[in-house]
Amino acid sequence: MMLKTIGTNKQEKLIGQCIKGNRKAQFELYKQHSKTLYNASLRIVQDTQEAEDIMQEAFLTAFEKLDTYQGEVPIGAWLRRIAVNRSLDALRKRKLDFEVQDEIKDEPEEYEPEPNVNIDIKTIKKCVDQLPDNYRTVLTLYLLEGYDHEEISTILKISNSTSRSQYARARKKLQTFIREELAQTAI
Amino acid sequence: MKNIEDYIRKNKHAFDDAEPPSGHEMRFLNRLPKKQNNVIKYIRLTAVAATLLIMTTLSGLYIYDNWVVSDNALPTLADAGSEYAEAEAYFVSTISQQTETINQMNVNDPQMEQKQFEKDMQEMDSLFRQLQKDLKATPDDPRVINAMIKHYQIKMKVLNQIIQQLENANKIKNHKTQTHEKVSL
Repeated sequence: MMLKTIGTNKQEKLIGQCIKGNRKAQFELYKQHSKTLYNASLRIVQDTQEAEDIMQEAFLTAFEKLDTYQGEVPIGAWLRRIAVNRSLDALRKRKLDFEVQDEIKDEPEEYEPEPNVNIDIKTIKKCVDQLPDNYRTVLTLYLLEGYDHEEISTILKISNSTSRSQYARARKKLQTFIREELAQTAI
Repeated sequence: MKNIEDYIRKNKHAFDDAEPPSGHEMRFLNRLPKKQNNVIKYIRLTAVAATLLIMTTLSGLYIYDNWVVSDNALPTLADAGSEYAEAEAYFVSTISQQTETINQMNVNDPQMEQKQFEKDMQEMDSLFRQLQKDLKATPDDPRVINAMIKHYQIKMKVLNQIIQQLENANKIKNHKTQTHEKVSL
């Protein structure tokens, strides 16, 4: 408890210095959060250079409006949100349509064997990266960024039900990929 | 397949394992706005504040010197000694009588250049104010006291001359009107 309070105070001090335009403090905050922001962006845009660019721009924007940060969420989450939003904007510029593509009509639920719980997390990550942009985005936002369907529908400008069905399809596709991956390693 | 979701959620951090391209920190520092801006802003602000302060002080001193101090705090001839107080009382009352006379004559004679007269008087007053300042700086200096007396005397002389001229003018005018009246009769 004590440690936590001290940590928060330190963090508050750092943020205060960032607001004042202290470059050293700003670089410190960058060093603390650049990796997670980079990964969040990279999962969405799937391009290392673009992800770095977006991540850095997110920081620059954040420093400009840091005085509006109320501390209702941890600073890391707050920064991440800016990076995620910018990444989604970049996807939209590529004219990605988040609206449902109806080529997969609700197929009957097939029997899915429970995959081995001991699957390597790297394998799963590889499979997530292989998902089409719109699937990967919804799945990432839901599972890794912790957005609920209400938030996803707002952020992607789609309906709540679209978000849900997109997510269901993404999950299904992911299962397929994982099974394929497991089958390959088994051989 | 709930397990997969839980598994991913539990291992969130494993998904953040990609390292940003090397050199990203230097690239970021290059994009980060220079702090110099703030220093320049600060210097500019200080300069503006200093200029304002100097200007207010100067104008304040000027106003104090010329308007506030002039009539109230500055010493007059009477402050140089009781023997001068009587003289000054005489000078002041005479001058105010003379001024009154001139003002009355002016009503009768619109030809008189009232504005020029007022201007001349103001000029003399400001000269006297300078003497008052000198007296404040060096009290009891006989040169200043003499100059003040002389000033009053000259002022009285000038006013007297004006009155004379105005009377002469009136005489001529009256004479003229009288002759005119005679002619017309």
